[in-house]
Amino acid sequence: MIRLMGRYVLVLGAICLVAAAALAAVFEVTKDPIAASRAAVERQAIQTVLPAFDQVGTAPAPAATGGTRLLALYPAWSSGQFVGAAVKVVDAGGYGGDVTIMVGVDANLKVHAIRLLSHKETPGLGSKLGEPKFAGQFSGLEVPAAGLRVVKDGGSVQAITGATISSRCAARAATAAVQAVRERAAELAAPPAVEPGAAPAAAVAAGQGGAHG
Amino acid sequence: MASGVSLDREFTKGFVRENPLFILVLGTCPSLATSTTLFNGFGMGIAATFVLVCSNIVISLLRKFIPDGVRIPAFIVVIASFVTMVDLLMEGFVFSLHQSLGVFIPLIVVNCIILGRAEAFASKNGVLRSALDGLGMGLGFMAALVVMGTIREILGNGTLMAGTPYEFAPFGEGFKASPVLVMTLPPGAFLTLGLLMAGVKRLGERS
Repeated sequence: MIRLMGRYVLVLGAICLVAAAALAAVFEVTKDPIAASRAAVERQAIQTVLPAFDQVGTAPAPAATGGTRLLALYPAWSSGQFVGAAVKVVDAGGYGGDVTIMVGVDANLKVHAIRLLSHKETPGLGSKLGEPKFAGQFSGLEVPAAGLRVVKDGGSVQAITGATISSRCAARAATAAVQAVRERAAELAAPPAVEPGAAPAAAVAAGQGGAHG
Repeated sequence: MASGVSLDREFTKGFVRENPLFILVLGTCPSLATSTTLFNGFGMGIAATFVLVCSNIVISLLRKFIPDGVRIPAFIVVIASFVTMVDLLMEGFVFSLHQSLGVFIPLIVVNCIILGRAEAFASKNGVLRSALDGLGMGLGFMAALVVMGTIREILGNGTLMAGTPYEFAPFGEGFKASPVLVMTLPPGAFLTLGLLMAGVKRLGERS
């Protein structure tokens, strides 16, 4: 009996050891490409949710409001003029947990565009959050004092059929983003001084480092 | 347990005769969830096939080494490791594909086709047979998902090939504007699976 148990432990232990070593190796190999791809997606997301800009920085993200957390805030300027800020928001109230959305807020504190970054919503239902048919309706929306709501909750946002819970995430995320930018509109208005010759891309990269560092 | 079954039958049995979804009725949960569109079904099928072939090979190699009492935890460790590796490798090197399939990859661990084939086949057969069994079963699963996804996407979404650049509306834009939404929802998944299951069973009885 004891010998059999010993064999079980030995075999399982050996298999786990090999599996752990293989996983560690794959993790090491893929770590840098994954980080680079994620950074590229984030840069691209900032560009798609904001009006054209030539300089982007990073500002400290404010504290959480309920289940909605702000991960990062990227204010952007064009020729020194504040054009808006991209806010990366995580809403924990999704059907499958966290939904991460990049919300672009323009200088008039209206939503410029939203873009779905990551989610675990049901494929074919909640995953439609990222489709233009749903996401497009946020462009140019003004956020009322009570916050954006889906139609079912007495608001104006057309929810995805069969995915009201997911749709509420987007409404909450857009609301939180606009409120965050509104609160710090004054400090975001002027761009930080950059050394001459610094390319906008470099500024974004610096912002990335600051946000994660 | 060398059986007299020829190698090509080991490969082809997964398509109709022992189709994992319609005949063995394994892996129904991820099938219902991911067969909303043709492309989703295809992606899930490809990822599951890869993991199934890899895990079948490794488990077949280890079959003499793993004692019976701990075989299930051992199988699960092997399967979960492959799933995690696929997840990391896809995110690192084919990022755009990972973006569209990312939600399905972790689901493969709980797909009982993989564990089912490890237990019922790979732990009792040689490496070549196990690899062929995994490939056939995986492709049979993918075919089943693609058929389900095609039916549900056309009826429930009014499109075909959504998620790819080749998306079109087979019944026209009018139908796309107000499709039979229930087909995308869970009840539509059960309806489709049930009808297809009956059809494949009938096909199997005739031949």
